[in-house]
Amino acid sequence: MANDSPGSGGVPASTVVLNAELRQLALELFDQFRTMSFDGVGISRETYGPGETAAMEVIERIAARHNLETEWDAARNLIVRLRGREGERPVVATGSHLDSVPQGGNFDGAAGVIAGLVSLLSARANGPPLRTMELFVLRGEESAWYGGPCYFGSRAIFGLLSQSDLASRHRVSGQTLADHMVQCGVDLTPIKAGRPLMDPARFHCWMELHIEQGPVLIAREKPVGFVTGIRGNVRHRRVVCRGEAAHSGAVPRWLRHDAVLAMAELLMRLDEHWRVLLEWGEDLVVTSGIVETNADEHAVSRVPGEVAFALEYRSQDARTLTSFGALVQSECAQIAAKRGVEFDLGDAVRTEPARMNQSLVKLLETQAGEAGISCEIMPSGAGHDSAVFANVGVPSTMVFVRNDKGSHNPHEAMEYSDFFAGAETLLRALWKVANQAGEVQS
Amino acid sequence: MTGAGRDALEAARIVVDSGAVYTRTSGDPFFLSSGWASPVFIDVKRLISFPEARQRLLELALRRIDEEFGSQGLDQIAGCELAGVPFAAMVADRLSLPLVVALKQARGFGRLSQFEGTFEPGTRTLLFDDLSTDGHTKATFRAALERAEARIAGIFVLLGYNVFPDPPEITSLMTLADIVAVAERDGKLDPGALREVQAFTANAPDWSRRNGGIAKP
Repeated sequence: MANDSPGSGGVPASTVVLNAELRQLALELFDQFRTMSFDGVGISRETYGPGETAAMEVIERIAARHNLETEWDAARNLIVRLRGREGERPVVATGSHLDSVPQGGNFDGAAGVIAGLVSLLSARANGPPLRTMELFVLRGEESAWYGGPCYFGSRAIFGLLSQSDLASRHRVSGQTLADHMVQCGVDLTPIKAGRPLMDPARFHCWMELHIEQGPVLIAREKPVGFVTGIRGNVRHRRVVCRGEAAHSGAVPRWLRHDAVLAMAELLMRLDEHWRVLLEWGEDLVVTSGIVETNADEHAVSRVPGEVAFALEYRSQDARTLTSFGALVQSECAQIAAKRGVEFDLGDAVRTEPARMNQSLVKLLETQAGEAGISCEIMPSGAGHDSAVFANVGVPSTMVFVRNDKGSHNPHEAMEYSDFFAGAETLLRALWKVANQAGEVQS
Repeated sequence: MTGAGRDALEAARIVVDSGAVYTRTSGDPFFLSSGWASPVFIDVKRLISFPEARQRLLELALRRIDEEFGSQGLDQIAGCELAGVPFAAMVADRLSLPLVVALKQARGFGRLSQFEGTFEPGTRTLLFDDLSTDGHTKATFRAALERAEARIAGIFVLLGYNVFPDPPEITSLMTLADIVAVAERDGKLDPGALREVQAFTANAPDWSRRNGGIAKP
């Protein structure tokens, strides 16, 4: 590094770069994470599990070795800190998560943590910025391990975990999230009380780098994208449709109350609404990812009396989520009346759509332009911790890195050159805001 | 300009004036069910609510059908579920021809399971719909007619997008290009929207790809 002694020069350099040494470190970290977390098929780092902790400790050790401050908060998120010259000012924060879905890919989450770490290291070499810069290595972003709810680490920071979140059961162990949190050393007292661990006002802004989990950047042939908004969602973990079990040969159609046909009709009606809403330019996706008849009683020759299924819909528009929710209710009521069944929609977990900060998006665009990196401005279909930060009022945005073959699978294919284009842009933007005294405009 | 060309522009003006042209240039585009992204959505079926406009459109359509197929060459009109049906019914009535409704999916068994109404094998049939985007659904209706052993005289739509690759053979009263020409001439679209729609009509697969839709069928 050209200048590895913090604070030597007095005035920090106006531009920052990711030098060869930091790039090498990033590559080594990706390799190390892959080796540590390979499960035979893909990468598995459980939410609030030992693999997640181990990966976080790797980041902690490197940070400590380079004289960055480290701290574990009460929810056992790791915070890496580069003190600014005026440490009392709101901090410039970046970060992402280190858990993964079962048999997931190596870049989902980890890319943002590694980009944040090398950004702080590069900033450190440049002399202390005006504002303190922080890297958040978050836990528990994925919904796969506890049947739906997610963003546990970031929501814990702002006192947003509910009793129902804490009581969610692990898909394999059957233990609750609270149990697994305690095993990771979490102090549940403030979390159960819904007490924020940090005041949103202590954040000047939040920027997260993440691989894109959709096909847009590939299609548009751009290495990076900057995010304008994040889809919110409504999740019904378990909808139960109850009809009446009957003999499949003896009971005629008009006397049946077939729970599976009722569910199928509901899903097809929702699919038709969805098709029409897209035609009219609404943003919406609808998924029923789990469907189950009760294995203790289901049979080929039995009219199903009960079926349980998951229902999830997402939109960038809060009004669309609400309107679609009303549609779901009214379709359930109609089908229930027509077929003599009942739908129990159960608890719905709603995550609000999040608007990203426009001036931060502009800043990223400018920085990419200056670095000669071509970029796209786009919404995010998938959910991210950044939505939590944005929804508590922290000016936020995201850097997306092009990624082929989707995400949440072992075949994620991010080119390292694209990663470095994203990381370089993130670093430049972080450095810029960290040295500005003024507020982030909305 | 040919008579057909003049009629196409007149039809396009009726559609534009009825307020059936919607554009989106920021935020999400419109998505057709096959996955194409589009900056423009044309709600042709809305025209059934305007009797005068509807009647004029019908006359223009009848003239075009006569030119293209010769009304003597047709035995029946098949209206496509759903929005094709009211228009097809009016056409059939004017031509004193039998009408059948072609359904989106078959119901039950038999040669006519995808139709309401009845016809004999070999009946020379004009398939009629309000709108064709990429022709995908028209292919479904055509297959249904073939299964029902009809003779397909042709497919006619009021508005054919005519911008996607590999279009099936469809006769249209007007195309998206006619709509754009009229909207431009009459100043019915703001310049930004007009630019996007023109870019879309010039190269729809490319526009779709750049806006989050599919790039090829």
